[in-house]
Amino acid sequence: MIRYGTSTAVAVMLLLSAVSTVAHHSFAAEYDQNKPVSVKGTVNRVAWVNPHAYLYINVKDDKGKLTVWAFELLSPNALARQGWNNKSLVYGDEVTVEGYAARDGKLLADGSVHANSRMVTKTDGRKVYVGSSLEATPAPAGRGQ
Amino acid sequence: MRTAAASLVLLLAVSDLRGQAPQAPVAPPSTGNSMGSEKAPTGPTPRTPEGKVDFSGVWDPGSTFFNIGQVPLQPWAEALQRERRANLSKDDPEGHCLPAGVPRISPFPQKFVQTPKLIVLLDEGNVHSYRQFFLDGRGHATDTFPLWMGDSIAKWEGDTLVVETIGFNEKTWISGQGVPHTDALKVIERYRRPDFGHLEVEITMEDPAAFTRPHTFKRGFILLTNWEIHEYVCNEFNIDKDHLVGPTP
Repeated sequence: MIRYGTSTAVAVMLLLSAVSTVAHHSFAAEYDQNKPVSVKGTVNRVAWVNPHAYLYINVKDDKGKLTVWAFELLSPNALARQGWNNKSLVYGDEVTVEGYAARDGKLLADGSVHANSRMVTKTDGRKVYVGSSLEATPAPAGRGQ
Repeated sequence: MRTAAASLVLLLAVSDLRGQAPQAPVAPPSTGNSMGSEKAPTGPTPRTPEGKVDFSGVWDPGSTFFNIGQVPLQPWAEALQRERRANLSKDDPEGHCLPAGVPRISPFPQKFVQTPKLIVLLDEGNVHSYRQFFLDGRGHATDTFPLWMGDSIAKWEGDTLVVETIGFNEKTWISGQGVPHTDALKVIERYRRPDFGHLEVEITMEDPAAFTRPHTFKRGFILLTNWEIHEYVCNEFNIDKDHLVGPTP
């Protein structure tokens, strides 16, 4: 990934542009914005699938027990337009992922913990914005039709 | 609505990034214009050899995809929308990888393919779908079954392409917030390309069975000069549908 000395103004512009790239489903019906999560681990893989790509993170607790988290990303087409490619995050990258927990609290079929992501931070401080359907779905109340 | 949404994102953006420069929050758009983040290309309105406005191109709806204004609903339709909103839009057909319908569009680009007698509109998402705007003078199909994307006929009024669409099923939502319609819905779209880089459409919806009066709103698109529509196979891994639980999981 290209390193950019990005100004806040540019970053805001890019984030605003991201608004138009998501919203396949209602965020609020699937994730809970009142349950933010922050997970530190290593990249297991990025699944380039529709309607949302998924970022799988290996997380080990103090006793060495491994848990895999599955974070919903934007869709592959939207990620591509933001400059993502298949080398943006690769196996073994150490990252911190911030996002929101799934409402139902259920594991996915493969046993991974289900969440929505909005930002990935690498160990060198670089952030990879991954978007969130939270920011694209007008809230159920107060924001028109 | 748009202002509120933009403010939310602005807030998120500033809270994320303040005091953390220089960093790379995100890679730059890989090609040309990308989802409205750059200015539209400039130049005169292109025309076909026949002298008609040429709408050909890949068009980015930017954030206007969900701006439809306040649709004047009849009480039963208002009640249905209220119920859908109370359920946090968990049953939105789009979340289940079904077509957006008309005039709803996805946040993804659309491509116009134009010939003298037929204009085809290709949707990248929410599912790959297409609309056919027949310009050969035919009338509406009279024997059709209910359609997700309706039956469209088109005509030129000067430089404006006027598309009339009827024949809908009642399954689609007009917005992600659950605005309903019936099979009486008629949609009139008036497309203009005022210059090279912009496409504008004025949309009027009539539904005497669900609305109290016709409703008109506008959308604007920007030409993407270095981007094709992209593959988007919604049903590939739509695990969302099993987890769209709404307020009471």
